[in-house]
Amino acid sequence: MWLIPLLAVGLAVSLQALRTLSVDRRWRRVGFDAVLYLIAATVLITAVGHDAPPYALPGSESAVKFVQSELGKDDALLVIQGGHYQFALESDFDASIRARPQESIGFVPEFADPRVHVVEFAFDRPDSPRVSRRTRAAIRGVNRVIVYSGSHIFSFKFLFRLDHVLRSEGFRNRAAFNFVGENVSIWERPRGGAAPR
Amino acid sequence: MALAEAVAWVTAATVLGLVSGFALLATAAAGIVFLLHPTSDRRVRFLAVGAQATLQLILLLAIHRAYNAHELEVFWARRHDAYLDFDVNPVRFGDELLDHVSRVAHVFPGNSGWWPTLCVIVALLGLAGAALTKRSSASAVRARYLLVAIWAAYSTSSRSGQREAGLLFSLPITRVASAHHCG
Repeated sequence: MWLIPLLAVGLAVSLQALRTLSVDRRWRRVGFDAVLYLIAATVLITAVGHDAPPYALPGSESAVKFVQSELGKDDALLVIQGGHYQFALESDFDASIRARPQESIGFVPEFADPRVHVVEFAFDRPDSPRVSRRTRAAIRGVNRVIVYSGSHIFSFKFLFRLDHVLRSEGFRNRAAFNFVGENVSIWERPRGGAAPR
Repeated sequence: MALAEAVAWVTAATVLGLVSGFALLATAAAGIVFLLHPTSDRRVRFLAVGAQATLQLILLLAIHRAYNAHELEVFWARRHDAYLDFDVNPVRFGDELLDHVSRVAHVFPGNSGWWPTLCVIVALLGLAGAALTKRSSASAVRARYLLVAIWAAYSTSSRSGQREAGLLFSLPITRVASAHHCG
């Protein structure tokens, strides 16, 4: 996008050079201008005729509101990497920023509410044992888990891993909701069921 | 160029460069063009651009320490084919370069097939013509600036270029620019 001026100025310079070549004949110059105006009008008309592309990250506000309304005092909320930034923006949870120069994005939101856990993974190691350990620690002692994942799910391998961790801890997927680009799933441990050891 | 103007240049370039990675690259390109068009003030310009480069290098060092460049590189490479892969075969490298450069035009209506590539080639030829033929006109300086900017963007998005120049090519700008906007 930031190189658009290059394209705009470059095309303008090229067209100007072509126009200069036809300057000796008035009718050629008029014809050249007419063709250019026609092309410009065509570009505008064809662009107006289409629906605008949807925003790349729709649904985060409604998804976050839904999560907030569903989250009970004894639940755990797993905010999956890729959704934690919009979650911090849209939610009412108190969030602060922590520097982390060892990661690809050098800062991360942290939530004061102990029920909210950001689950992150490395792009080249989406199923590392460290992530599984953190996830297990986050859901320890709770019987209901809400998983919020934004539209930027970078690794399905990670999601499969998360699914495996939750199931191995005795949770079952009770409901799944899609908010255009955002996903929310609710996991519960059956009553009387204990986490397998 | 008076000393006050030089100070103003350094201040403006540094402040603008703080806005984003794109602005940093744009101001660095402006510094190069500024240096290439001296009148009788070559020394002052050299000092001004030198000061700008020093300050921006410090900024780069600070940026570089704030994130994991390797992980970011893995992400952009895997998800967006962000980097030019240098090949000694000029045909293959030309094809790679053309593929990446044509992405500049993908934001325009009717951006399918050969059309974006044609637009970019015509634009680059126009800029090259303007930069080479009109030595000191405003349009020539503008064209040179844009060519320096795209050269900087693409040379820093080349894998071999990154290895050669180390820190500079760990700029977030190169990832963002090459992945999203210029290929």
